[in-house]
Amino acid sequence: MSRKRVLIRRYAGEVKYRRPSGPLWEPAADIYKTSEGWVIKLDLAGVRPDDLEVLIVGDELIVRGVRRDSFINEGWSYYQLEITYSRFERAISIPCDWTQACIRSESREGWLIVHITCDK
Amino acid sequence: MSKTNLIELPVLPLRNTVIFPNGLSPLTVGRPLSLAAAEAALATEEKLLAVVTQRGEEDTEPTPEGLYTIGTRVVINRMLRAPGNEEVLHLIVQGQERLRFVSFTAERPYLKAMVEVLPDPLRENTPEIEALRRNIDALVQKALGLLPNVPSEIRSLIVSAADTVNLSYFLASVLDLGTTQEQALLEANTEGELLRLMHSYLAREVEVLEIRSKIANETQEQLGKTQRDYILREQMKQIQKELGESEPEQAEATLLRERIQKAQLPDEVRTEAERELRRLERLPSAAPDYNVIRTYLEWILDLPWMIATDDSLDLINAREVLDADHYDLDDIKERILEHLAVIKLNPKTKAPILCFVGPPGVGKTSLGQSIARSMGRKFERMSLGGIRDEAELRGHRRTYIGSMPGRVIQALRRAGVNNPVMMLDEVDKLGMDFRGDPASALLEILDPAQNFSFRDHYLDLPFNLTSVFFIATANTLQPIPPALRDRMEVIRLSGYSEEEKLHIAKRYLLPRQIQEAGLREDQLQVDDDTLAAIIARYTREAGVRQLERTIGRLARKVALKVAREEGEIFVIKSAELEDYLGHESFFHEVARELLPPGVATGLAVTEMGGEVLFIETTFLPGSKGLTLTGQLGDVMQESAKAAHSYLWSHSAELGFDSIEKFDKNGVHVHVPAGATPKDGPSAGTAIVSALASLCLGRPVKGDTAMTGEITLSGLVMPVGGIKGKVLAARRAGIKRVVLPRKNEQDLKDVPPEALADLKVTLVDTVAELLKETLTPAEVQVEKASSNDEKLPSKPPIPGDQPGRPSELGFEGTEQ
Repeated sequence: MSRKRVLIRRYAGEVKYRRPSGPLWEPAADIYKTSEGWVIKLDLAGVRPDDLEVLIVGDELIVRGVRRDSFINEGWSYYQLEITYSRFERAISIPCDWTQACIRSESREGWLIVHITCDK
Repeated sequence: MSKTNLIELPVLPLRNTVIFPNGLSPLTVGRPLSLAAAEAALATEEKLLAVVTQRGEEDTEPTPEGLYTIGTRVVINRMLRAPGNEEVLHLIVQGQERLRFVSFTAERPYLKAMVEVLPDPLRENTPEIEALRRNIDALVQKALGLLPNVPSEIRSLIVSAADTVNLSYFLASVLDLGTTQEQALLEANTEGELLRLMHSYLAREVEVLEIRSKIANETQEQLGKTQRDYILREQMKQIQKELGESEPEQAEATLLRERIQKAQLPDEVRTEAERELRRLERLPSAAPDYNVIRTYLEWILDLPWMIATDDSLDLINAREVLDADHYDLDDIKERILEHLAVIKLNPKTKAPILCFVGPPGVGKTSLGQSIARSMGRKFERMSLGGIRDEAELRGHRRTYIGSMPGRVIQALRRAGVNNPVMMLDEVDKLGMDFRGDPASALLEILDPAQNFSFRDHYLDLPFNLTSVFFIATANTLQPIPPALRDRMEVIRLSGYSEEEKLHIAKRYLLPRQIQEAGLREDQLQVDDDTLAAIIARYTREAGVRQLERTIGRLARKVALKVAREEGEIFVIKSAELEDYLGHESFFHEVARELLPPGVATGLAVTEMGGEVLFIETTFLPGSKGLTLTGQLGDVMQESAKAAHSYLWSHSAELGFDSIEKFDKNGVHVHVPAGATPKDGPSAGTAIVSALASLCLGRPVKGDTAMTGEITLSGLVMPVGGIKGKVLAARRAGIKRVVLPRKNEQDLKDVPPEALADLKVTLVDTVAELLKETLTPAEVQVEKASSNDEKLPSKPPIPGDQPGRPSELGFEGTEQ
């Protein structure tokens, strides 16, 4: 199982983050509270790490990206489609001081996992 | 993800619908071009597609020119092939952003275009936008209220929507606004433009919804009522069927038919009844006319067209019945017996139409009852007092709602026979207004030449009234129109004399009141003297009603004593009357022994019988002409003018040396009591005597009363009501009455005992009259003292004092 680190970008509170227009789909997320801090797990199977972006904007953690269907081949055609592709975005807010937090994320087994360690 | 300005996407043309950013929309794809575009989109990594609405919906293969230039980029979220038909795709797409089509790059196998992603409509924050937002919110609330079937999720979604742009897109996709309007919304580039459009569409939509819900409610209500009636009616039918009854209208018609066959009806009436019955049978019972016709038929069937009672023609028995009920009244009793005799000889004779005229309480109404009893006929009475509407007598035509036959037909139905004695009470008190003249309607009813075919407006069938014995009653003849008076045989019932009253009290009133009070006959004994005292001191009337009430009061007082066991048998003496009845109520206007010059005693008849009245005259130095007061009618005023003129012009012949008094002074004539209207010519002699007395300064004899009309040439003409006037004079203590000679015959009507107390002088001319009425000139000076000695028993009455005429007692006239 490949483990790949995902780039995390921080924006200072003042910077106005502009949401892309139009609604996007939202991946499902589990949030764990750990002894060090938090672990967030997002259902993002089939998303290439390059297509993923984790941002801290103000007091929100934003995960966004695009799921592309690279599975389809020449001469194939869909009989049924249930998986949502295209762009997605998920904003998560948890009670945590982001400026002090140490954040790290990885893509594993189709999940995107974000570790947040809060300093005492 | 890339933000390049232009991208190439497969194009899916939409029919009939516009997809907005944000919303999820199901799409069914069947056209080959669209299928190919959808397949191409599915084959890409991001499943993106440009959708755009085509301008004409019939176009199956739209060209780029047939499409709007603004569309929406969507992502295909779900795809499913229709089971059994793989050439149809069901898609669920999610709108993302608005697009502008820059150029089309291919038309086959599917449309393909270069598109530019348009930014979200620019959010603005002006007061106008805020106002629009609030208005839209209000309209949305209203619309939600009118749409009961909106799922609660959608409801809460709408209510909680924070962004008006997205809310507008959502509403546009939910509401059925029409493609053109939806496209216009999609093309709006600023929030202001979008909201303005949305507001106008919403307002219209809400209006449509309101009208729709109103129509729906009304229809529901209407349907509900009709349905309910129908169900109830059907149930009733079923119930009746179960009970073995036939349908009600049928049963009713059959019943009426049987009654018509059995009833005794004249041919014309039978024909009409059967015709109406046929009409009735054709009508449903709910028809408004149904009840009208049924009521009409019932009226026809209830009337006594051919039913009559047999007259009892036993003359002796009839006389006994009449005598038992009423004292005296010989004229009337005779008239009834005559009629019975005629019926005996000629059964086809027409009934007479009588009119009893007389003061209240003389027994007019009860006489009608005993006539009916003596003849063995039914008695029906209707009071005409205050009737102003001709339709009361003759009915309303059947076309009016609530119409009914008139009183005559109603009375006949009550009587159940066509020959009752029908009493028309108070015929002089008929009114008249814009609705017609009931007296004129009576003309037809009371004319024997016309009333064999009396047509009531309601029945519109001739009814034969010839066998009805009509008796009208009135207090005075004057208000009765001449045409009506002419049709009736007028019988006058004047007031009773004191002797007659005594007889009536003894025979009828006392026994009746003793019985009413629950006493035994021997428990209350009143002798003649006492009764006479009651009549004289406690009553003043022409009839006997007040007398009967007074006797009733006496009987009740005695009943109280009997109940308290204060005694068993009471014999009332006239001296004890004050204990039982209190102070005496009346002392009659009595003769004034001492009249000042210019005052004379006249006699008048009122509805209550005869009265004594005084004529007062005085000079008004320095004025001219004649002043008349005391509510005098035209005839009486003219009579006073004639008296004035006569004296003025004939002063020389009459030996007056004081003609200049008329030249220099006006004259005032007053007749108390001033509040009671008076009219008639019969005060002429009294006025002329008063004026002559004034002129000469010689008083009129105080014990003398007079009546009679005078002419300018000095003749005394006869007047009516002699009996009542003489009785009043006697009651007042007058000793002498001066009457016109032409009234000599009328004295026969006066009870002999009254004549015995009075001296009657008959005169032909005013000259004779004045000789009789004025005190002689020589004794004038001693008059005052000598008069007092002549009649010492009577104390002077305060009003007699000269100069205070306004206090003259005349209380009796107001009764």
